[in-house]
Amino acid sequence: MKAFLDARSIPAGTVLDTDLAIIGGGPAGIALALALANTPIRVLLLESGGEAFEPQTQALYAGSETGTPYLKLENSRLRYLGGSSNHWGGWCRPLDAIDFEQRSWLPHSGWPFSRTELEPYFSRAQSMCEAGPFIYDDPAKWTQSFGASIPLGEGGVYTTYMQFSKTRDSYLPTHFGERYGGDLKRVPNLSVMLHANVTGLRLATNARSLDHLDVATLQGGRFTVRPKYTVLAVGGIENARLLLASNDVVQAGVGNGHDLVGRFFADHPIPGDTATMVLFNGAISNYYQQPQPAFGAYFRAALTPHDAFKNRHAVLCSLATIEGEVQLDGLGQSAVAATASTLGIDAANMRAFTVGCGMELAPDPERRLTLSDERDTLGMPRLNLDMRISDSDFARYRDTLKELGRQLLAARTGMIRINHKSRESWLSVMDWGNHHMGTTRMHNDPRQGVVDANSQVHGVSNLYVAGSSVFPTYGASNPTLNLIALTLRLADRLKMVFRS
Amino acid sequence: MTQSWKSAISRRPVLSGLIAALGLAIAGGIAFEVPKLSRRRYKPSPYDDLLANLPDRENAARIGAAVIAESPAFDANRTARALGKSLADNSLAGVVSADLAQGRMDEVRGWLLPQTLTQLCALAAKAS
Repeated sequence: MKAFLDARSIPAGTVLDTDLAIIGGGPAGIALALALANTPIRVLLLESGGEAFEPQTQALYAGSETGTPYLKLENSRLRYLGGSSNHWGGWCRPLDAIDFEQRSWLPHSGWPFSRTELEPYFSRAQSMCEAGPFIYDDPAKWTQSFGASIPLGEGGVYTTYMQFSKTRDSYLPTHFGERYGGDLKRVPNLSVMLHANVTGLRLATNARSLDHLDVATLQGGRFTVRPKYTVLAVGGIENARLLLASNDVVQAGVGNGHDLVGRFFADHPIPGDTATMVLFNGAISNYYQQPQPAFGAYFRAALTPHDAFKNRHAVLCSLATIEGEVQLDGLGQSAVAATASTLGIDAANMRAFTVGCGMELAPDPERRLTLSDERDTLGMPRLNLDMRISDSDFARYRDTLKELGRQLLAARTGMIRINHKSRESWLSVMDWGNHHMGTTRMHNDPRQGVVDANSQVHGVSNLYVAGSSVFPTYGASNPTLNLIALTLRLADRLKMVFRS
Repeated sequence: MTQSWKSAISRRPVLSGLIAALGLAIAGGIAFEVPKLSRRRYKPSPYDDLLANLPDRENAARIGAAVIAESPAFDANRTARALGKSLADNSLAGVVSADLAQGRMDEVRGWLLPQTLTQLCALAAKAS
């Protein structure tokens, strides 16, 4: 086992050569480094932070936000080993098949490949997330052991199951730095360097390949890393920042020949109390409301639209969660009484619950990150995020709730109230998932994507991007499991590249 | 045999039985009539034949008030004519099931309700 290197001890002006530089020690960077363990590839992982939170390093993330109210850029991510997994909620679910498809009703949709391309990697990604066996698509496993699902009858909405990351011998999700730090130290062909801030991706003069990386420390040290290949894995916001800020050879920035870097920023809106769900008989399995221990992990149910329903009604994905019990007002009690009696149902034991949600946003090129005039202490331009959420995003989720309400009534199970209609009302209950996606989107056509299907930056032969910034469409599933699967696929690609 | 059987019946038990039966009938009558007497009475309206379908007219009227508040142009007579046709040969439960199968739903202050029920509720509010 070898100790981590510290960039603060590297003499100024040093040039370090390596086969592969991984920029960023979050889930993607760590997954990639471990996937390349024991190969002939000499890997150098450069992490800006240390092994724990440091305010001066975190402050490098500060930026500005305009448009729809959004989280402060420095608060919605973490800049030390393990990255944002250090404040991860642990929710895991693979993307749906439709998330990869080009849909005529959804502009800019579609990945360059189908979900089947990622399926060989989900099992290993699941293992890295420590989320138990990969049994999302096997509802019988849950219902046979832990109680029935809510009867919804035929329709567009069904119960799906989320699994939760859980560090061994803990209830907390896997913090990748803490959990895999020892493993990283044991990899013979890997060096991890902390406090190493990459401040520039320097292209060769022909702009067709990356020549070297500028690295700086907060103590004033500056040195160079000259890798044969580089993987950018600093998160959905910072990936775009580094590409845009590296504008010494190409004025628009690296990989930005078609003005796409930083556009299509996305997150998952998480509005609270989106609906009130009444169950006429009051019966609900515990796994709807709280994560339940099972099969060595935790799981929880959510309500989501079928892919066929999404296509038929042009709705996006959403994961509605059933939260705490609530009391109905007078009108609500009348609505339940009048409806239940009409249906001939005894609602004497009815219970009502508030419904939370994680929503998918439609891709929007105007929801974007741009460089601002402000600079951080290392001299890098800070970012401005112009955040947007369209009324149609809310309307699409409402359509799913309407279908859920219809199914509950048709199955004589219950009914719902949709609690928000106006944009102002939705925004008043808005929170966000801290799931930064889309800013270096993947597409085979360089005019529509920053990276190609192999995650290589279009036009730059030795630069790749890992993480959810390459997601062209986002689904509603939490990104970590999916971005790790995608990163493991990239590792296979890199092994092939180095073999050749 | 017949004579001895007749002679076995005494007068007292027969009278007791008759009194008990009369008591039961009175009690039953009270049990049947009192709820009727205590039930809320509604003034006659043109929609009473339709509103008779509602098992809980009081709560329906509360919903209906919200429906009318959200749709001031609600046309009671036209709605009643349409409901009269759809309920002529079908039970309310059947029509509501068809609404749900066809996705005919209304939103009343956020509550998603079958369209026919919403319309009956509005008529109940008009009639109250």
